[in-house]
Amino acid sequence: MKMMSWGDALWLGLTARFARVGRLRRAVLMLAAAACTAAAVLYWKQQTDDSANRPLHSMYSGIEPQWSWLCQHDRCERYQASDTTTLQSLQTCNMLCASTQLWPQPTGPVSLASAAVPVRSDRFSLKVVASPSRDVTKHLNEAFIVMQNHMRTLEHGVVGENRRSDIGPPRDVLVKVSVNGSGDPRMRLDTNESYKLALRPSGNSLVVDITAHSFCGARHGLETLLQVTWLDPYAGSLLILEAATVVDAPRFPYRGLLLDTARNFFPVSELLRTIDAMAANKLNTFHWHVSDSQSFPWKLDSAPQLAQHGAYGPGAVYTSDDVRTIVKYARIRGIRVLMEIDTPAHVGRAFGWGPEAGLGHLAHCIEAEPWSSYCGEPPCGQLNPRNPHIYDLLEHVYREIIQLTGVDDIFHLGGDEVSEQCWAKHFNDTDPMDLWMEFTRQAMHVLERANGGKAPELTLLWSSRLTRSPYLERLDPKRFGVQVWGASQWPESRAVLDAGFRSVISHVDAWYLDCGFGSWRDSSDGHCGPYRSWQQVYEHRPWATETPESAAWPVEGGAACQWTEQLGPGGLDARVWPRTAALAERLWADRAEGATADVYLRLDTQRARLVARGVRAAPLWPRWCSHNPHACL
Amino acid sequence: MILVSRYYLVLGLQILVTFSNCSFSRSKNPLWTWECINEKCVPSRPDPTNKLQSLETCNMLCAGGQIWPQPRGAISLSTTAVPVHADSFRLKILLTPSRTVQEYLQESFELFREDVKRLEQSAFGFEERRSVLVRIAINGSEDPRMRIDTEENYKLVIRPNSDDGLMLVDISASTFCGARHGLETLIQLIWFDPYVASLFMLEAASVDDSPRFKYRGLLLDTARNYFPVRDLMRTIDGMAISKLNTFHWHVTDTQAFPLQLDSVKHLSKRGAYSLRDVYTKDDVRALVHRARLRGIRVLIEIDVPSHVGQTWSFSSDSETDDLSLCTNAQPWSPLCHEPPCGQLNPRNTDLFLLLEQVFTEIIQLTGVDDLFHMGGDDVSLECWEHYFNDTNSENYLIEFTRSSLDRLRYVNGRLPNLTLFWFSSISDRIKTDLKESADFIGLQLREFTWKHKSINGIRTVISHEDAWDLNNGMGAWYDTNGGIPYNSWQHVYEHRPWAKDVANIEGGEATVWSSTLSDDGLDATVWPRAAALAERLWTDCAEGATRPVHARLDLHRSRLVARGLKAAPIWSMWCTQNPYTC
Repeated sequence: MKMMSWGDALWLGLTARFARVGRLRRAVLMLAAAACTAAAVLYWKQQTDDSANRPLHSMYSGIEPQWSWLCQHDRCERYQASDTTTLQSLQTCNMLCASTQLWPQPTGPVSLASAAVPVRSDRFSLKVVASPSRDVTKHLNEAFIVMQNHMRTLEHGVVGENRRSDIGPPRDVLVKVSVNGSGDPRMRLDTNESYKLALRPSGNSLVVDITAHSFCGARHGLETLLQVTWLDPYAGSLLILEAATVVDAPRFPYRGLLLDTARNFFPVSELLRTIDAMAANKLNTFHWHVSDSQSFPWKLDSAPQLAQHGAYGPGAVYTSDDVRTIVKYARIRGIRVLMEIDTPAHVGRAFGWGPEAGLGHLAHCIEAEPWSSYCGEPPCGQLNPRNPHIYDLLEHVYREIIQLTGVDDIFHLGGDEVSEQCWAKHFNDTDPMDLWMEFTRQAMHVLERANGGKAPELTLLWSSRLTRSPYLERLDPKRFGVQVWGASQWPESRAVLDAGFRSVISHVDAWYLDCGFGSWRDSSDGHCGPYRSWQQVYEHRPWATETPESAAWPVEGGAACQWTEQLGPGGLDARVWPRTAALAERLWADRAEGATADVYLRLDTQRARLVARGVRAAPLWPRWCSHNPHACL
Repeated sequence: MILVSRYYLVLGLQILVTFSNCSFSRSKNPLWTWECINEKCVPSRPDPTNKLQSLETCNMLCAGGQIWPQPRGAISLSTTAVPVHADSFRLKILLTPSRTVQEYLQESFELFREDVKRLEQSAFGFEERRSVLVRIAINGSEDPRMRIDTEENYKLVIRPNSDDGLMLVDISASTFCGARHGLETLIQLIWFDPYVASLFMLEAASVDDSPRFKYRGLLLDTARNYFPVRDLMRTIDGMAISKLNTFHWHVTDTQAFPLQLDSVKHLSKRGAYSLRDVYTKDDVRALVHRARLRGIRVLIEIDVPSHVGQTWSFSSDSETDDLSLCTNAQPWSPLCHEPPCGQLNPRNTDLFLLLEQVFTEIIQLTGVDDLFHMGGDDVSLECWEHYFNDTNSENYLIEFTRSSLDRLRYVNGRLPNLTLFWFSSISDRIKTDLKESADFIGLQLREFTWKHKSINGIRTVISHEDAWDLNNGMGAWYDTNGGIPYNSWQHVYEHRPWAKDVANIEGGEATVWSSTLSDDGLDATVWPRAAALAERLWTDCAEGATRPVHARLDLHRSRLVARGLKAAPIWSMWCTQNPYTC
C-alpha cells in the first residue's frame, strides 16, 4: 500500500478543504500557518468510496480514529471522522483552540502559540544555567527526570508502532533553568514560588527558559512545561506548543491536602500517587494526619511502643524508611510533608502502655464507654496532661518528625476536639480549659527543644474552644496559627482571623471531602453532609467578603481534608480528584469568577492529565460532554 | 472427633509450638488476639502464655451466622473449624437433570475453586488439610439459565465423615442457579486465617435457604462513561457473592452507543466514544457466560424511544424521515431531560425494522428470552409535538410502544414473560390501551408512585431513587451543589416499601448512573451498598440496620475485598477490630 508523505498529504488536504468548505477557514488558516513551520497537527484523509484504499488505513495499523475535532469559533466541534477531510484529536484541538488549558491558571501574563511540533521524551535535555547551591542543582536534575518520566508514561499510551512517520522528526528541546535566590530546595513558608517560562523555536530545535527564585518555583515551571506537552493519539507522538511565555506566582503560600491514615490504613504507594497528583496541581503541603485514636500506624524509632500498641496490624505500619521515601518523593515535587500527631485528644491504645512500662497513665479515657460522654467519636482517649513522661515522649516524637520531614519552620500540634469531661473526670481540682492551655504551653516548650531551641515560625492548632474567646486571647499570634475547620459562617471561624492569627482555611462546609456519605455509626447521626461538589470547592472564597477587616486577614492558604472513616485504598483517587484540583486553582490563582465554562473545560483537560499520570480521578461529566464540551455548558 | 474439634478451635500459639515446622513467623508478630466473650470478639494484647486467635477466625466461630445475605430457612453452624486447601475440594455430581446443567456445574465448580484459591494466596500452613468432597444433586429444571420461574432454593450440609476424616458437603437444589447459591454459601464458610496462614472451613453446617424476591438487580450505565469489560466482570462477581441475579446493563444512552451489533453496525460506529471503547460481540458473550456460571442473567437495555442520540441519525436527508429527532438540539432544556437531546421518530417505519434486528440480536446474545427491557423513560412529548405540530403526542408513545411490543413478539415467537418499561406518562394507560399485553408488562419504578391506583395489578420492579440510586448525592455535573442526598447503606438496607402489599412486586434493583463515575470510583460506589440491597431482597428481615447487621456487612465487605472488589469501608478499621463498640 502506498503511503503518502506528510507534506503531500497535508497539501492535498488543504487544497481540498479550500475548495469545499468555507466555514472551516479559520481552522485551515491556523493550520496553514502551522504548516509553514512544518509543524502542523493536521492529518489528511482522502475522501474515497473505496475505503480499503484510504491512506488512513495504511497509517493506522491498529484502530482507526472515529472522531475528528475542529476548532470553530473558538470551540472544538466533534465530527465523524469519515465526514471530514481533516483528522485532529480532541487533545490537540483543545490545546490549540482558544483556551489556555493550563491548571491552575497562571496569575501573570500568558501567551501561547496555536501551533504544535512533535517531540519525544528522550530528546529533552536540561541545562542548569544558574543555581545558588549544589543541593538545588541536584533537586533540579531529579525534578527534570520526574518530568521526563511523566512524558515517557504518556508515550506508553501509544499502542505498538503507531507513530506516524509523516509528521516530521521530533525536535530537540533544551530546557535552561536559572534559579537565582534561595539555596534551600525545601518548600518553606518564605519560599518564593514564582517562575517565568519562555518556550521558543530556535533553528530546528526548541529552547525553554525557566527562571525562578527557588527550586520550588523552577519545578512549577517544569510542571507548566509538562502541561503544554501532550500525547496526540492520532499522531502517536508527543506534541508541544511551539512557543509560549508564562509569568506566574501563587496567590497563597499554603496550599494543602490532608489525608487521614489512621481511620483506615493506606499503603505507601497510595500516598505517593496522591503526592504526585498534588504536584500536578502545584499544591505544596501534604498534611499527613498520620495518627488518631483509632490507630497509630507510624513506627517511630524513638518510640516504637506507639505503633506496637496502636497499629491495626503488622501490614498496616509506616516505617521510618517509608517516611523518608515519602518525604524525598514529595520534596522533588516541591511539596512539604507536614506530619500531624494529633494531641492531646484523638489518641488511643497507642498510649495505653504507660502503666506496664512504669510510666503511669500516659492517657485517660482510652476506649471509655459511653463514648459520647468522653469524646467526639469512638474510640475515646486523651493524654494525661499531669504526667511529665508524656512531654518527654512528645519531645521524642516532635524531634523525629522534624528530622524525618526536614520541615522546621512549620509544625502542626493538633489540638482538635478536646473533651473537657474526660479531664474533668480525672482532675476535678482544675478547670479543664486551664489544663488544656497548660498542655499546649508545655507541648510548645518541648517542640522548641526538639527544634534546636527555636520555635517554628508557624505552629498550627486546629480551631477549637481553645481558639475561641476568652482563651484565644491567651495564645500568642506570633507563635500560633489556626487551621480553621469550622463552618465558614461560624463567628469563631472569623474571630481568629480578626484577632490576627495566621490561618489555614479548611471550612467543613466547603473543603471537607469526606462529607455526604451518611453515618458510619449505628447509634448516632454525627456526620457532615451533603457532598461538596467540585464547583462548591472551587467557588468557596471566604476571604472575599465585604467586611473591612477581611482585607487584613492573615490567610496563609487552605487545605482540603480527606478523613477516612468511610474510605479505603480503593476509591481514594476518585474521592480526592478532581475536587482537590479545584481547590488548587482557588488557592493558586484565586480568580474572582466561579465555575464558568472555561473552568469546566480546563478542569476536564486537567482531569485527563491526572488520569494519564495514573491517578484515577473521577469524571466531571459524561464523556460525551468532554467530546462536545460546549453542548453541555 | 472431640479431639479434632478442640484442637482446631484453639488456633494459635499452642499450634505453633506443636507444629513449629509450619513457619508461623511469616505472619510477623500479631499485635492483637481476639477472644469470644458473650458472642462478641474482643481484642486484647497477645500474652505469651495464652493462645492467639485472629479476628477472621474469631468472627467466624464466635457469634455464628456470618452469611450474607442471611439465609431465610433453618440454619445451624458449628463453632469449630478444620483446615482446608483449595486443591482439596472435589466435586461429585449425584444427580442432574441434563447434560447442560452438568457442564455448568463443572465449570461453576472450577470458578468456585479459583475463588477459594484467591482467598488462600499466601497460605502454606498445615500439612494435614482435610479433603472435601462436594456432592451436588439437582432434581428440577434442566435449563441452567436464571429465568423468571427459576427456583433458587438450595440446601447445604457440611459434616465430617467419622471414618476417614473426609469432609462431606452436600448441596441439593432444584436448579443449577440454586446449587450455585449453595456453593456461594459454602465459600462464605471458608476463610483465611492470617495467624496460622491457612484456610479454614466450618466443621459442620446446615443451611436451608431461598430468596424472598425473584428479581434482584443492579443497573450499570455504560453510556455516560465507558467501563472496560473487566470492570463489568468484577461487578458480576460482586453480585454473585451477594446472590443478586440480574445485571441490568444500561448499555446505551444519548451520549454513547458502545455496543457493537452485527445487524446495525452504524450504531456503534456513530455512537462509541472511540473504536476502542466498545463492547464487541465476543465481549458480550464472555460476559454472559461468566454471568450464567454465576447464576446471573444479563438484561441488556437499549433505551428507546428517548435517550437516543446522534447514534441514530444515520439514515436519510429529509428531516421528517430521520430516525431520530431533536438530535443535539440547543437549547436542550425544553426538548430533553439532560443534554444531548435525541428521540426516535415514531413515524419512520424503517425504525421498527431496525428495532426488530436489535431485539433479535440482544436475545441471541444474552439468551434471555423471558425477560426484556424496553426503556421508555424520560420521553419528551415536547420534542414530538415540536416536530409533528400535534399536541396529543402521548398517543405517539402508545403507538410506539405497541409497535415495539409487536416486533418483540414477532422476533421472540411470543412476548417474553415480563417486558419492563420505566414508569412514564403512559403507564396508567397500560391496562386500557395496551390491554392485550398488560399481563406481560412490568414497570420499573424510580419514584414512590407504585401505590398509584391506575397501575394496580401491574407487575413492578422497585428502584426508588431516594433509596436505591447509588450515585445520588455526589453532585450533578450540571448543577453546582451536592444535589439530592446520598443513600447510605443503612438507608438502602432499611428501605422496605412493600411493608403491607407485596403482590405484583417482582423484586428490586439498585441503579448506578455513570455521569460522574469511572473505573476507580465504581467498586467503592457500588459496594457494599448493593450488598445491603441484596439482603433486603433475599431475606427481607423486618429489622433494620442493627448492630449485628453492621458487623455482618463489615465481614461481607472484607469478603468482597478478598475477592478483588475494592468495596468502601463502612467505618474505620478500628471499628472492624472492635465491632460492637462503634
